[in-house]
Amino acid sequence: MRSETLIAAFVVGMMLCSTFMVYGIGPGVPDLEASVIGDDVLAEYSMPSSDHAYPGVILAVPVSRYRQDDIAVLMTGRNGIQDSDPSMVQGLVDHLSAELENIGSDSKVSMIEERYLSSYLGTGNGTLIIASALDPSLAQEVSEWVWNGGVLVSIGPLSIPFNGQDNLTIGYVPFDHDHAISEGSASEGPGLRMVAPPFGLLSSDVESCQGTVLGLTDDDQNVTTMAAIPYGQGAVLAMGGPIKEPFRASMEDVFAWDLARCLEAGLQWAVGPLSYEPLTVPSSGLHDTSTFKGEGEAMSIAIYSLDDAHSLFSCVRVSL
Amino acid sequence: MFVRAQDTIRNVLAPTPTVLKFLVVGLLVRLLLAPWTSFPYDTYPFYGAVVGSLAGTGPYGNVLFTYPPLFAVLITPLFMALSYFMDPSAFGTFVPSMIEVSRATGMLVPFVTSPMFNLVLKSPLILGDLLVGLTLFRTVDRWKGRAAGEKAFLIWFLNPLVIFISSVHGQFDVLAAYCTLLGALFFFDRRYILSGTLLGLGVLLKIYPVYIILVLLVALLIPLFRELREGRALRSLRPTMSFMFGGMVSLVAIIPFLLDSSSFLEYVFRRGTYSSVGGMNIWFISPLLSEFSGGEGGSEGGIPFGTILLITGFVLTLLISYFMLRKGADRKSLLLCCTMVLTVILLTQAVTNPQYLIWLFPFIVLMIEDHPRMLKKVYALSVLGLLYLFCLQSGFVFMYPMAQYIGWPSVTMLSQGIEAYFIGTSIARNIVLCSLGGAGFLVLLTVILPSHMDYLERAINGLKNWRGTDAK
Repeated sequence: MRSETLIAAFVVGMMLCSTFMVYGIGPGVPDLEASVIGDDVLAEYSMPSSDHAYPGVILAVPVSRYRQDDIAVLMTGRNGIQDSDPSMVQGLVDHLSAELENIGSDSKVSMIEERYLSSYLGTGNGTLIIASALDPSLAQEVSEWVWNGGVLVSIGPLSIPFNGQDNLTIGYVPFDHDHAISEGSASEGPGLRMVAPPFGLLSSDVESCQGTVLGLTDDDQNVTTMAAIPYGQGAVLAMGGPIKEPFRASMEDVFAWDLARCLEAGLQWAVGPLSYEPLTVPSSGLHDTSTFKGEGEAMSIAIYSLDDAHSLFSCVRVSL
Repeated sequence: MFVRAQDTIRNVLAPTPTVLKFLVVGLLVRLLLAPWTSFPYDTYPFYGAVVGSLAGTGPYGNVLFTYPPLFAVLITPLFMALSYFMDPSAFGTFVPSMIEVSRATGMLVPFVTSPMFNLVLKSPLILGDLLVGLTLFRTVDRWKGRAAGEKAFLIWFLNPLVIFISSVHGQFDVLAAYCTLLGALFFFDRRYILSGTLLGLGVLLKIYPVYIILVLLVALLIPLFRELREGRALRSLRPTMSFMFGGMVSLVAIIPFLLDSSSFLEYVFRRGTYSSVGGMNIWFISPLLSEFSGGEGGSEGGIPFGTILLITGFVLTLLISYFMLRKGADRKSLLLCCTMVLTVILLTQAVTNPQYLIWLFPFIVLMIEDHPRMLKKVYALSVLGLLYLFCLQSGFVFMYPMAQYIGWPSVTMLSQGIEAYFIGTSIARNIVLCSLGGAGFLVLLTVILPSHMDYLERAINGLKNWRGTDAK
């Protein structure tokens, strides 16, 4: 009888723990409001309390427009040195779906195979992620789709199918992460986590395409990990890559963490440099304001936590 | 009351002075190793489950943890308690200088968990080691006497591979092994509800106890079908229903996960169908073949190879169980059948890592008194398993917490050592791994061979005779 009691108590105890883990009270949500005061944008925000202080960031970026799309990830099945391994592309789908859900997004993520790409492009605007080389015969179709308003997220040197055509030429070189990042639980700046892609984008090429450098840059500011490039009515969010080991630096977990926050904040539509302020949220929470210089026709403001034990995010847009 | 509690503790932890002596030594070794060692690649998903739970997104929120949920449920309360005293951002450190070596081996994560995190993570595993040891002692004591029980405890609790897997590597196979062992023992004692519940809990930790469930179900269904065929009263129906009811009871532990979302099931089941093959099984040669074919492995399209092997495992389990238990299922034949099935699964599944040997050891230890040759299998497999773990990426890979938090040896030195070993030895490393995997396969094979065909036994006896002749 003692065994029965012990095991029943264990099962009930585990059920209570599971209930707490699934339905327990989360750490709260951040609150963010923005208003235009003269030439400036005033952001008023609050971050919830926690058992310990935690890091966060508030960032602002001028954007040309904003649109929230569902996301399609293309599976080409190709697996070369400059392609993302198919298992990692599948991993990106899982991680990105989870990260978007974690930050409260309504966007859905699906995977499409290369043979169905034409029919996907025919359904209208959306966000398409390509992480490997594409069948060259589809390049023109993708180019036209982006030009007419689609968003292409390209990961790695072979993932812009129309690179080198139509006034968009981006060069990729090996990314020297050694001096670009420092030790700690989160990287500096806006806290993006993809810090060591095998290849990065040449910043000069991004600028010559009227693009905006968003990611980490190497010591000489020549190579970056991420940039937004306007393309007709659409945009290319070009990321270094391909997706390769290890976790925490250049694998699907960090691509998903960055993409969820960047796409929700509308960084793919960036038309000017990022401004950001690092935050240290005390354990009692934080209620404060930040002022950013207004640029362009609209600005997107986002606030989020940077540590692993929080998944806080909020974003607003203001027209100038 | 205090005296009664003291007596209970003494009876549980120190049933004999010898057991107490082994227990203290084993615990000290484990507690000394646990904080300062880890296998970053395997620890990172556990860290992900912990911080995901603290963030309110759950253990699967960051998709790093892809095991069944019970281990996350077990450790989360411990880390929630720890997080009151320790900032979770101090649970681990991102170490950029490990990025290159991590990329080179593909089996490292540049993130090192802190000694306190390691100790809290490994404390349930150390407890699992202890519980399995004490269960083995009590069972063998009951079956074969005190001296045999003490020997069983010693063989398990001071086994270097058992110590290494729980206290250095930090893998939780021992918890599933404990549930499986207890589930089987309760079944032998005809306590079917408890047996079903414990085996169910085992499956909620790691999938493999499902094979033992199949064995025991076959043991219950054979007499039931016989009764049905012969038109007799269905006396076997009650044990079968009790066993299945017990299995359903175990699901209560994770019912909120089942009700909330099914996406975690997808991650968990995908684990079982990975296409990579190798380790201490019939596929031991595959790292070498992969090296010669330029590193391209796995199967794309069609039914994944892992799925085929999984189905094969189920079919083999049913066939072995039927042929071994069709004439009756007493304690000895059930024990033998469980050991057989686990061995066949280890021999044929896609990947057999050294930590999976922990599934088998408790059953082998129970058999040692009736089959003394099994002792040598435990020793041989322990040595081969340890060597395999050390040769995979070199032993340096387990020392990062010490390097990061004490400063000796330095992280750079460890990374250089691993790179030199991994890149410098290339084909030689794969030859060594294949040899160790092949040796492990051959030793595992002798577990299921009848004693007159046991080549390991014959080789050892031959060596003994030769040494005896030589000495004369």
